[in-house]
Amino acid sequence: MRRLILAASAVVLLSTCSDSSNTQSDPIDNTPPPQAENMAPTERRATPQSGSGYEAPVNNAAGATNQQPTEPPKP
Amino acid sequence: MDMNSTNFAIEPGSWLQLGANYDGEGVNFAIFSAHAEGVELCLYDPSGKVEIARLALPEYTHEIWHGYVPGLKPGALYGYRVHGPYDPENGHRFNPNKLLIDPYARELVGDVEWNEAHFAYDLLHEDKDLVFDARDSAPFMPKCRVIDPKEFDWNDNRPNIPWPAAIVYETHVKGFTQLNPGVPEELRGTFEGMGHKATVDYIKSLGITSVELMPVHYFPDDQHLLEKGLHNFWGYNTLGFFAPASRYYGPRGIQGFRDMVRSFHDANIEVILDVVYNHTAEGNELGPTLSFKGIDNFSYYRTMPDQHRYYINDTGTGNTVNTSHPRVLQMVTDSLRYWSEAMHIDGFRFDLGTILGREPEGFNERGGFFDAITQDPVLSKVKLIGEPWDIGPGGYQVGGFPPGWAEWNDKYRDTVREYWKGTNVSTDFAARLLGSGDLYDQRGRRPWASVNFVAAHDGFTLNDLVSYNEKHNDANGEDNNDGHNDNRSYNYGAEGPTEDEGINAVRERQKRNFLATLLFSHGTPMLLAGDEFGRSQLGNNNGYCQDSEISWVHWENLPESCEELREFTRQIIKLRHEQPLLRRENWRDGMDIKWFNAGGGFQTAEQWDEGSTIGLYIGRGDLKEEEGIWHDVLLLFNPFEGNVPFQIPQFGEGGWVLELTTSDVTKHGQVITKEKDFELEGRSLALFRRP
Repeated sequence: MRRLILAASAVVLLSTCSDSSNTQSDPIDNTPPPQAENMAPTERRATPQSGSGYEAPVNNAAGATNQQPTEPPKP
Repeated sequence: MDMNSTNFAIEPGSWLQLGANYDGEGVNFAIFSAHAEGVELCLYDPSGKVEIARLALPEYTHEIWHGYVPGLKPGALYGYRVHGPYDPENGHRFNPNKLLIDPYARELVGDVEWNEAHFAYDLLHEDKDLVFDARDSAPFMPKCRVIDPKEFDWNDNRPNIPWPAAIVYETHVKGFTQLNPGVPEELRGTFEGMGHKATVDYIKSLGITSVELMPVHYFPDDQHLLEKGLHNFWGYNTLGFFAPASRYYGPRGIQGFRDMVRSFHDANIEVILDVVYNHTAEGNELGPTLSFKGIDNFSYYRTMPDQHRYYINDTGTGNTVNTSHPRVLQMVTDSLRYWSEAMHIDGFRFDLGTILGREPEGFNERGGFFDAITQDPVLSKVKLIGEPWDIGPGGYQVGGFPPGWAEWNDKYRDTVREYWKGTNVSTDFAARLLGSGDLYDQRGRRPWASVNFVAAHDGFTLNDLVSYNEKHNDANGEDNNDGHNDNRSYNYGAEGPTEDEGINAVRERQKRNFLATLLFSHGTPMLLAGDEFGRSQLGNNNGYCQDSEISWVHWENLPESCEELREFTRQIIKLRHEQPLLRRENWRDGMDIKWFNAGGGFQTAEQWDEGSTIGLYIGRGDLKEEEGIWHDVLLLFNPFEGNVPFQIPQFGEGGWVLELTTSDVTKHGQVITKEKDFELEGRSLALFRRP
């Protein structure tokens, strides 16, 4: 299990780098960009469909997907 | 007209309104088929067993066959037989020996009773579907019933919940009510049970605004499931896009559906339907002929280029509905308008929604379906939620739906699961927590476009997410090969239920972490029914065929921890409703967003990379003067095992007060000043407000 690593830079005082007054007229958003591979839209993986419970069929060269014909129901 | 009479006349009628429509003096029948050579209307006696008239539709206008039967009234039972070429290699599968469901049937009577006669080809012949079968399927088919949708006196008020206020609750009519002791036995498993006061009051008590019902369109059971003694529980197998699933009928039949909707509306709760327009119950080229295949196979389905015998299967179920055809697209939009206008449904969740945006060249967010919805004066105003993927090429379209749509955000699900499991996905977690602006802050889409969820019907329940490392789907009869393998779950030391108090304590805390993260995230939260009190499916993550106690919600003899979790859920839902900061409406509301490290300084790039405990400050100065409304809050997250002394960032006036922490639901009110750190316990979340 991972343990927390407290970075040395944690000692940076808030007052030196953010709004130290009560006025917050300059909104800050220091949210980092998400990981590049998570930008959408992407085809990095196919999320399984609802309902069928089957594995995804294989893509064919025609650019569409054709499930191999299954055996007909038993009479 | 006496429905046992065999003296029926038929007149030309009108092509203008598809389906069977009663005008007070008779019924007009109209059905689209571009390739049929003739259509016969078959009328049945009230038992549905005896054909009492077979009338050729006399007119064909703009590819619509039509006729009018004077004197016929609501309640009449009918079906169609359609003549044309049986030529599978060219995409045509007409066979008038098969009684067919009207695609516009508003009610279906009876079930599909599986029989060889349902197949348009000779099951025993080595050439399979290339060989015609002449057996009559009528005795084994449900019958369509003419209804008058205007006969119900609604007298309801639609909730019209604003998107930013919505909290969605995904559930199943039968699964939610079958074991509920508050619902009278005769109503359990029915629409009326779902609309019963005990059900509605409970959902209301949680703070839910919008109930999302898994499929309630008419669907048959799959033959292969019946052969294994199983049933299609979920219902992603539609046969009638206008007809309620009669398996959920109670004593009041179709009226019970309307009663249910009105009950929810009376409680100011919306009803959203999970709709499945991407495929039908007719399977691939070896599947049965129940409706569309026999009416106009080549128009209703996408077939393989140059191999029209076979179907494009971007759904994984054998066929794909061809929404590129204008009459098929019309059927979908007519269906949606019917449910919205005549059945008072407030929104839709589109199963495998990418399929609907597919054109012959692939997915296009300016495809005909999306354009039709966007310009529609009715449909553009209801809640539209896409499941933005299918299994075809380019089918993963999270973030790719057009303006006006919300989407199930599986990136949220996966990232939040990873985060609380202890994997370093902090940067991605930050984006998901704040509404996934990387995906949705474009073209005027709002934060609500991200439908956030941790668990849904498809996969582990919340309890099972923290109780199992592996899926346990043996009861499905597929040797545990079905269902997702990538669950990002963790059992914390024992697979499944355990008596170990330490493990159970961690699991309960993790459930609270997931629920609090969900309710405190920007975007639209969706809760899977029962997750608010730790419902288990015993590790089954693909309950599609489990019409059994595996899938049904259990209400009795639950441990105390279930009630505690339920109360916690109510508490955090209440907070979300009360505090605008927790349900952001607009990306450009001037919100101040800051991320901190445990030392009280800004989170650095290195710290994001390393993965660490994080704090999030959000504030809006314009909320300062509003009574009882927080203008800023602080959220601390520690996904790791050990405790962390967190120096609370101090600015503004008055310090901070602990509102809640997932480590101890009884702990709150602690005041934090500059001189004192907060001990942020391992695997916990803490929410602070101003005094």
